[in-house]
Amino acid sequence: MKMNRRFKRGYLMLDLLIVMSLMIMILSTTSVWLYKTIRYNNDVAQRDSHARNISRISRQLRVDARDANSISAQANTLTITTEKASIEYQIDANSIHREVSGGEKTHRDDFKFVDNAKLVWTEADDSSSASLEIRRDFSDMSAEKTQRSGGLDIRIVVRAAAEEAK
Amino acid sequence: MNRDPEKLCRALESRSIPVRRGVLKAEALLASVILVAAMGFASTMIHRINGLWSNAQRHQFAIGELSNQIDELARLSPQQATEALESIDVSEACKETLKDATIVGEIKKDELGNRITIKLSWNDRKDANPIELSAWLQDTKSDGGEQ
Repeated sequence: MKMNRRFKRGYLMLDLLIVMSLMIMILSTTSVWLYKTIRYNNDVAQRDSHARNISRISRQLRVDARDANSISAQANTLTITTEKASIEYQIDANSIHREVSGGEKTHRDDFKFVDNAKLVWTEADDSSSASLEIRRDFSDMSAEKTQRSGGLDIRIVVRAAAEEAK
Repeated sequence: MNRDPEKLCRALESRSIPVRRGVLKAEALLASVILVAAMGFASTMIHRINGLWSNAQRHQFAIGELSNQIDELARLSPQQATEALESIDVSEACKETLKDATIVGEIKKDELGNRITIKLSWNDRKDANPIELSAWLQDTKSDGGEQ
């Protein structure tokens, strides 16, 4: 009798139930963590790309404006005119396409931002300067609503340098 | 194959293999402590990484603000720039984004001409500010007497 208790063969239904419920708990927790990790990884990659593209467009806009005769912003398009070329920045949803025409070749470049990015050109009253505002729309994300900046990532102001020099 | 429990027990005892059923309380406690510590560490790290991201974002915004300001100032003559520096202030967008943002600037003469330096500081949890940006005034040779 004593030996039978020590070396039982098989398991009780209760043992199996406990083990199975524990396994389900571990599996469900792990899968949630795995899903969140993958999502967080994508978020980080997007945010990194967003920050790099902000730096890139900031630098590019300032370089282009340095030789500009005029700068004009209309709806989704910013046009910078220099003596040699015409540079157009076109907003398309969450990205900006840059196209340089007028020379022998046409150059194209893309700046892609996060999915909820809102891009706006604003032209100043004197029509020699314009600004680009990049902000993120958090209206569908309750956790980020409290962000102090209201989602404004950057405001880049560019002025036609050549026009002033004249 | 030997299926008799008594013989199996003797065989195990003769080979001095310890027969254990279940876990000690200390082991369970240790495992729980390690699990709680790991989860706490992960949560802290996630919170800190989020803080770093926000900090980097504010830093990038501040650099943009300084670039906007210095683009305006660098076109001016030294006298105009000095006057502009006396009344310099951050933009409305910057006031909204960076808490208690203040900007100051100065002009110094060096071997390349009149160098203008502006400094932006704001209230932040981290000590990543203030940040400084310098440029040389464009018509420094015509206005600067030492060139």
